[in-house]
Amino acid sequence: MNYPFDLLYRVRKPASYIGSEYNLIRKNPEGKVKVALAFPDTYEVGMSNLGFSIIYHIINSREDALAERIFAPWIDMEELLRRRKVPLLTLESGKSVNEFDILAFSISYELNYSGILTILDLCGLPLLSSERKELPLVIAGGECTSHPAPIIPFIDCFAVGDGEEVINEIIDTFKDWRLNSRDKYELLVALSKIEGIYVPGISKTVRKRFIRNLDKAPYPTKPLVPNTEIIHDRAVVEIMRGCTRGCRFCEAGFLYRPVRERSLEMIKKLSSEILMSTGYGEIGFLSLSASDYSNLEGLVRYIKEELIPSHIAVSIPSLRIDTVSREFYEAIGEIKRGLTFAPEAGTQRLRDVINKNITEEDIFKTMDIVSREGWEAVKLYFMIGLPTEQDEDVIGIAKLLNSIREKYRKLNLNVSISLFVPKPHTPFQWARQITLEEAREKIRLLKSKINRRINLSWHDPQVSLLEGILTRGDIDVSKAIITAWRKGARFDAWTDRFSWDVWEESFRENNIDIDFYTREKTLLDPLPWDFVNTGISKEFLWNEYQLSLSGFKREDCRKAGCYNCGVCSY
Amino acid sequence: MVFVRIEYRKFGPLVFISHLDLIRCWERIVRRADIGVSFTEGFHPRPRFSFSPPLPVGFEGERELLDIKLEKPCLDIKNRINRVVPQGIYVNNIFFIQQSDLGESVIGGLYSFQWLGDTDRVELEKGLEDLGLKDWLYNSEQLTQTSIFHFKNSLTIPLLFEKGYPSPKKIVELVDGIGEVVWLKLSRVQLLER
Repeated sequence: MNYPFDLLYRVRKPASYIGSEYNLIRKNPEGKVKVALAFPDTYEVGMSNLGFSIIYHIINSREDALAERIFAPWIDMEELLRRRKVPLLTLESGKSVNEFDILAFSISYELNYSGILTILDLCGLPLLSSERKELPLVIAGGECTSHPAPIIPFIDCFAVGDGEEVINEIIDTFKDWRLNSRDKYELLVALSKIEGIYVPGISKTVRKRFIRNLDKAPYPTKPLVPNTEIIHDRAVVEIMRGCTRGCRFCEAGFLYRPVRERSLEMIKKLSSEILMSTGYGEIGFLSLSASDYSNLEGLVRYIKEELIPSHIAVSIPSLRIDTVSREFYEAIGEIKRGLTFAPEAGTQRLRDVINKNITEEDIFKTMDIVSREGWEAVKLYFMIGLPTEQDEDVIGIAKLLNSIREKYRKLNLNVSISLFVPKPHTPFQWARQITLEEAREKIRLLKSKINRRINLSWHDPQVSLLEGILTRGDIDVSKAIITAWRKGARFDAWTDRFSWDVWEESFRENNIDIDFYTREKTLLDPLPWDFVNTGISKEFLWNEYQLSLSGFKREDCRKAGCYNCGVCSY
Repeated sequence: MVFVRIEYRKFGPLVFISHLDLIRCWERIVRRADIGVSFTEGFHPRPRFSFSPPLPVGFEGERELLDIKLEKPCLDIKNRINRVVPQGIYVNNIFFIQQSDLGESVIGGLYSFQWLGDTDRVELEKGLEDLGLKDWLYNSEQLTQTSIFHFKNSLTIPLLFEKGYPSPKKIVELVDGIGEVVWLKLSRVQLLER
């Protein structure tokens, strides 16, 4: 425990700041490259992030380096730290980040951007790279580095794509540099030569890194076991990275291509090692689309024959109901928990536009199984504001839900509506995002048509609008991020903390025209993430966009053949 | 049926975890220690546990109790557990027992509060009386090197888990209400058994 007792005693969630997890190793810092790994959200969110855990493990596996963790402190803790003039301390050794060589952020969500500034500031570092002449070097990895423009001024160097290899190259480069130089600029030049690294001001472009073989990739087999409940509080084994279904709105689906699977043997080996070393009573098998795992049958057998008899609970997110047997769902207790299912759009036409290959027949087939097998609740996800959406598509959601409700009266229907946010590196990167007024109008329309017994919830349109601006923003947006942060923007991903007024004011004060970032773009418009090469060609994405507008869908390329997105020859 | 009663210390960083966190923490400890505990049925099998009454967050427990039901007797339980505990839990003793009766036999705890602050003695004693308390041990020690505060205070009170007795948190609130203090340590020194 690194903060004074009295300080922790006065915050709401002191357990987030104590560290001391089982499996924690404290290393002697002597002569090592010291990395502070930072996650710009709470401990509970950051500790649930697999990428963060992988990088922590890789650095600490090296004899010549160490990694320690920091997370964004909650509001009460931040206030107390400032009042008592205590800097943010790492959970391992309780040192201030000033004593580290590298401060490495893991950034996977745009609404965490304000957390980057909180951490920099509480570490006593200037917010802007241009004002940081000394170490620590501030680097960033995670999904958001594939469209980093709005946070470029805060970060010295970005790693794009899978981090497993590049983190080692960064540390090696750092070691070489330290032997010969003290000049930070020389370090940045050396780093810019690593593939997958983007150094603002030095690099022109950057190519995404990806690891080819998951079986050979390092994986944390002795992960830290949190002492307090985190969001995903279980052992985790990633069974597959990437997805080839080609849903046109899905950023992860394009960013994580090509699809790479972990072999069943490796999954078994990792699972048993992790369960043994942590004592977890639950394991989750992670992927973007578990139903597409080639040896799903073998995995199911392993779960039934080995895990369940050893009193281990299992969760497989993103598993489609029609791909495994009823017995299996029953065995893992999924029937009790309730099914989640994402048709995303209410009419076939619109599902074709977004390339969500689910038909109305599939939906009813799923509901048939659900009701026949006695599931009590179903959670359905839809988006509004998708490209080409008309009133009849919104009404289509209501019609679809009403007829499900009509047919399966006993079923508890929970519906979650979110607003479509066009994402970089997807075919919809050129698409328009609807305005707040339109969003409210569509929600009103939907509510007026939908059976009142259906539980409807929706994401705050203002949060989606902010996400849209930050995700497709350019470097100018960074000024508004600083302004909003100074005005008190913290934890924007948390609905009870989010304040649109603060952001709107900040955009206005910095002459940020919201419409410029949300309107439709043409092939001729330069995009702020054009310099990031994810391996997928822009022509392919544009072509997909055009096909989408005419309602032409594509099958999964692993089944129907190659469409030349470019990633496999990358 | 075999029960093992574990007498352990909860200290250091783990004083800040809640009772629910503590249960999860012990669940993982006994799975790692592999001592043959008995699990509940269902989709989320849990070890069959029985804990002494919850410690408030922030309190150290010097002699806490936990009963675990075992499938079969197991040797060397104390060492097997102490090899796999996180920093902040340590087993002092174990006993094999016939029956788990923690709920009935434990009736209260002896609590200790330590803080820095120039707390007014009369006000404190009046506050304690208002809370319906009669027995306590209070000591205030003058500090030689002082910065903001001149006294180090310690208060020890037995509190029963029954109606009419305040929770230890109430006493913390009372002291906090009298004047500015810095807390040094809060603890349940021992459980009071029937």
